[in-house]
Amino acid sequence: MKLVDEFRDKELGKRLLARIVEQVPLARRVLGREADAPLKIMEVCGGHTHVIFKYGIEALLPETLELVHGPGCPVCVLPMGRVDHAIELASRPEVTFCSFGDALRVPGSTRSLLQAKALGADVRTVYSPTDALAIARANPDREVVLFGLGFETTTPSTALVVLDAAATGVTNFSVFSNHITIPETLEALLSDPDATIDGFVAPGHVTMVIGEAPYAPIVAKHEKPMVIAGFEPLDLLQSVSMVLDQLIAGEARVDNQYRRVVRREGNLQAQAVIAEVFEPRETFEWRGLGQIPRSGLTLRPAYARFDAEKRFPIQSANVADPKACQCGSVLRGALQPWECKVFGTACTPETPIGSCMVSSEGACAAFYNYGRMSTVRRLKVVS
Amino acid sequence: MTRKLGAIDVAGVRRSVGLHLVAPPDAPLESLVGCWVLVHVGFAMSRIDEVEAKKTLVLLQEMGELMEGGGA
Repeated sequence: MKLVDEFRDKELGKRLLARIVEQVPLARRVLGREADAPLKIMEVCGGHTHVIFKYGIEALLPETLELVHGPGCPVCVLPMGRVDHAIELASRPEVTFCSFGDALRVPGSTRSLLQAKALGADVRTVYSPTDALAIARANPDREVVLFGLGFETTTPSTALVVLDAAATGVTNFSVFSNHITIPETLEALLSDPDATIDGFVAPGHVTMVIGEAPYAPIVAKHEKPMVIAGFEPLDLLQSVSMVLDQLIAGEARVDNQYRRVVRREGNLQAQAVIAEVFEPRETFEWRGLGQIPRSGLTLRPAYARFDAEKRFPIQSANVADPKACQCGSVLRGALQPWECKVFGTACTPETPIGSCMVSSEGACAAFYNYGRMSTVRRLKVVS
Repeated sequence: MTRKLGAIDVAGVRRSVGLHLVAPPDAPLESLVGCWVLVHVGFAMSRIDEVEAKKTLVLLQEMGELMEGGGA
């Protein structure tokens, strides 16, 4: 496909890898890194994690460079308590609950949405928020609730559908908002005193919406290089190489590798519809990361009638995440998927315990599907 | 809100997507015909800039060639 195949060129990939192999020792020297401590670059976005495992990029990189898989998978970071709340809403007799497919198998404390559907809940899989509004229009006797999930890439679509419902007088449609934001999350990750990340491959499609500006204060405060990256294998290799360029030069700034899609100012129309419909919550809970101030979005008072949490007060208690599951450590980049005690044994994509094993963007599912055990052995030698 | 829908071709499959977020402020929607767009959950989110794509590919080539010269 045009504008895709060019970014999968094998020969060019080999040459970029050769460049990275030469860069890593230089960057390690600048940082004064001990022999047994790898350089750590975090790819924040779950879409990047998926590409890295799918193309086996990790196994091609030098042993002294580790890619750490970040929290940019909206299904993975949803705490079990919120999944329970979604299931409670879906189980109300008057509700038709619409969700993207990857959220259906996330385990709640007693069941998943898919299991709730098997027990009689009216749960529908949608491809777009517009599908949910169409279901509401076609079924005026049903209360249609959209499971609003995703980072800034997805939030504008939910906002546009709420605006459409408001403009056309739809009264049986609402959103259970779990929309979350990236800059606040990066700030929280870097404020952790145990943080060991040397640089970031920043999420291309989130930045396509929000633009480069929100990263500037984070980069200035924490002095970590950040490169906005595309989603083909060469995009990722080039971005890693650009992070290393900055480390070698002792610099920390926001670079954009994904210029064909991401404009410096982002998508102003998308920013405007988000700001019209949504506002930040004081705080929002993330699986593994805990409460992060202003990282979650809720509907503004002017659109409160489309807020499922206001229409249907949640009854169930907020349960804690299961102890056996180490998704939290995986999402913070403190643990690689295969180091979790239940990885690949009790926890598999067919019977997931943790959310990271469910979504195709989750680090555990990506490693389970594409992972090379040779990588595990090699990385264990280093760490 | 007007219904700004457009037909797109995804590897041979035709789909209807929302063009609200890529609509040019001072030109009709028809001016988008023939553009490449990035689509996410039913909405076009960005127009793909072919000139920038080519520049990135040139940069990629250069990064590879520099290495063959032996320097970083």
